[in-house]
Amino acid sequence: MKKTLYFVSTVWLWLVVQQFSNHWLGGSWFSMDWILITALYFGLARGPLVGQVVGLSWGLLVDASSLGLMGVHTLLYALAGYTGGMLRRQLDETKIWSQAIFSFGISCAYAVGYLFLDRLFSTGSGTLSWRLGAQPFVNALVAPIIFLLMQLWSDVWGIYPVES
Amino acid sequence: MDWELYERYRATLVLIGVALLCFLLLAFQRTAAVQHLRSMLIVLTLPSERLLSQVSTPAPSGSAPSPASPATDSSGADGHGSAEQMREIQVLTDENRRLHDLLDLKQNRWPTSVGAHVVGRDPQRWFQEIVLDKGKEDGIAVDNPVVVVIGGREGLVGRVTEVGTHVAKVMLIQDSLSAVAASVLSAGAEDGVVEGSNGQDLVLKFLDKSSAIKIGDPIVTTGLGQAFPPGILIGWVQDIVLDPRQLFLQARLRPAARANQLHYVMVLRP
Repeated sequence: MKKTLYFVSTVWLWLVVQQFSNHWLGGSWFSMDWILITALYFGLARGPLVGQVVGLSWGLLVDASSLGLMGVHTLLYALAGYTGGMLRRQLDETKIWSQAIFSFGISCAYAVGYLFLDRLFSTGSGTLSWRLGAQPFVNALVAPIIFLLMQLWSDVWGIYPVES
Repeated sequence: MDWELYERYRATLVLIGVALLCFLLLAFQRTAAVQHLRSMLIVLTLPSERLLSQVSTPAPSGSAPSPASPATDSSGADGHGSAEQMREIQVLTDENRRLHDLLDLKQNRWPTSVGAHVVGRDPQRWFQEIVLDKGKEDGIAVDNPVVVVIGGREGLVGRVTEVGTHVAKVMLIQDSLSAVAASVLSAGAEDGVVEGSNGQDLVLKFLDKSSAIKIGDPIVTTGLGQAFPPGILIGWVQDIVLDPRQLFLQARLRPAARANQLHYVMVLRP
């Protein structure tokens, strides 16, 4: 029950944080993807299954609320969580540099995936904002902070990373 | 043995299922089932987006300072409280004025229009689309024009491209797919087409080389094609150059509705 509450509240809270971030910083260079980094955190801390299920939940909500292509964020966030989980034994997620470099790599893959799926399925203008190119750098910069926040948030709930 | 194998590859199997689900969602975007799923999920996200939009609507930057503005008040703790109160009053006054303008315009020119908050924006499509908190249930339909109130008159924002039960998506005139028939108010009502650039600015194309257009001229909709009502302000001329083929003049416009400052809009219904 506690675990379920933890996951539900995390998904909801981080969704609101992302909405706030989009609202205030979405039109600037400092636009960041909190959800992507947090899906990575879940993958690294709790394994690929949890990572992708949490990513899937976020993706569905983001796709629905943006009225964009249904399934794009769902697939990309789930993939990010899965990738984080599959690489968790090769990476020391407590190291700041690992967090930043890994987030940068996944953010680049996310941008490429987003462009590809958008071109394939979108009926829109097809030209995306240059911010998509800047986002991996910003994500890498804020990843250590997001990882730290998630650790603190998990500590508050008394829920700790597990081997799976 | 089989169970062990399943345990080992469980996450990968789930991922294959997730990928399949996503491709189905992407392939059948327009079907009733996917739209229904979207409507159900929006119910979960809309309250926080609506709240966020309401609390974050800032006061217009051009508003006149109040007689006792925060900058002039520096009298310790009480002064700080008073300054805070004055700031709140200022914000409420500006909000009141904006809503008053909107109400006036609604009563006088667009009695069937619907006011809506901007509740969603995708940073990847910042200059292309916005999401409103009103939808089919509020009488909004695809192709309805969307305007913002600037100094008591309308400024063109875009048109509705997608409608859900409680939300609607608007294509901004800044989108490069957008084309609006427009007229230069002070150059013998010369007509052209305003196109988006996927950035803040707009481009007015197909003006005659001998056009009398000047920097600062206001550009309005012509009403041609009936996509937008005539006379709605689009923007002002900022720069005039020859187009790449040297056949026409084209003007860069400063839009009346800045894409970065959209918080509350009006959807015009026929």
